[in-house]
Amino acid sequence: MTRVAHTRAEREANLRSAADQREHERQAVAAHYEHSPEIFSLVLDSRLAYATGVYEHAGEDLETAQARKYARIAAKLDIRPGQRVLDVGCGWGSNLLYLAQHTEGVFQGITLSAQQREEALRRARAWGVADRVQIDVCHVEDLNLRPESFDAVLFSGSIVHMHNRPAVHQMVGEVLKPGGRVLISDCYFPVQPRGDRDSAATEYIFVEALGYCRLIGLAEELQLMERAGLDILHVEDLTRHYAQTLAHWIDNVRKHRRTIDAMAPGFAAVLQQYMTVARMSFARRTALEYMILATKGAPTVDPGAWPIAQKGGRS
Amino acid sequence: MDGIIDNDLILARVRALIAESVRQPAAAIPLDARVDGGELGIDSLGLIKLMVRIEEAFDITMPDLAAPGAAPFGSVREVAALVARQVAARQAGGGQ
Repeated sequence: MTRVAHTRAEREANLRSAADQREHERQAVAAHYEHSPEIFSLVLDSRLAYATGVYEHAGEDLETAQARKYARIAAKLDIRPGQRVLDVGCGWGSNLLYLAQHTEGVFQGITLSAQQREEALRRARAWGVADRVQIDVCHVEDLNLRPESFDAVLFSGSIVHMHNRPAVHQMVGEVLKPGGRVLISDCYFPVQPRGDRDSAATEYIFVEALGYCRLIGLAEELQLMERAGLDILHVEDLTRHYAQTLAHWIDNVRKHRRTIDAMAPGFAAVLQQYMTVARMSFARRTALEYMILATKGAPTVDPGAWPIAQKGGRS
Repeated sequence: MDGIIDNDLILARVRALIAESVRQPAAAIPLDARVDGGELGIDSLGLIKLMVRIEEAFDITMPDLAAPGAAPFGSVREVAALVARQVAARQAGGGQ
């Protein structure tokens, strides 16, 4: 597959060696997430999901939308007692700890931020699931895992920070057991370019605010997953939901501007600015948000049996 | 900005913030220049940063740029009038 670079940051990444790019991601991506969890707890939901929620109604609050998203991910991954789950880019443990509390699985998370690891482990202890939770500061490409050792792999709002996508999907294809699931919730570019991908706004969000981001086309991601031996089971669009999530986050930044700035001068403006760029991109669909579910071998979940509300009475 | 709302003061402050964002002296910013039309050389990111600076400076909420059919911001004078209305709403206790 020819690799088309969409942005300046991506073109620069293509010029680095793989090892240099890994190091770049370790530094640049971690910087944003190394800010105090106290700040993010003023902006995000109580479990600190730094990803879209799922809204059924326009008036719903952030907490409700994120709770629905956790439950949706849990349903899709369908983790059975004793199954092993890898959360790549686990953040402050939002999904990982929800799953640990609601299933009897065993969890391994990685993040590039020591602050995130510490907060996630603190929560794991407080919520009584620390015995089934391991979290390491580790780059995804430095993971050294046994083949066929995991039943589920999760990427929520994290794969966008990973430049070397073929290597990432290859790793997933190898570490999943037969019947294992992988779920990705992240941001994609429409294939036909809309908007200026080399604009100051794009550069601001992908580089200045978030360190390094690589948005590709959905089909490109799906093809890489298929090449790694995975079968795509389900894809859903959450673009509108992310625009709504961002509106809630932006309002929370406004509400707590002074407190945030007291902890990290200037960071409230960075948050509000990048979140506004993101919200406008999703609102105009110049960026798209998808949740992807795939399986290795015969699926143990059946999306065809999932309910979809019917219009116009029963058939 | 507490107490009596001085519209001239708000206009001067808004003009200064705009001038700062395009690195020009305030006198070089015509009051009838459109803020969002490229006339002052403010791109989409510049506009977002300006709106955040205005929100910080006046402790108000500016209109949602991503709302469907969001109104363009208009001239320096019109932005200042919008700010004045938001400041008045905040002082009336309603805020936004």
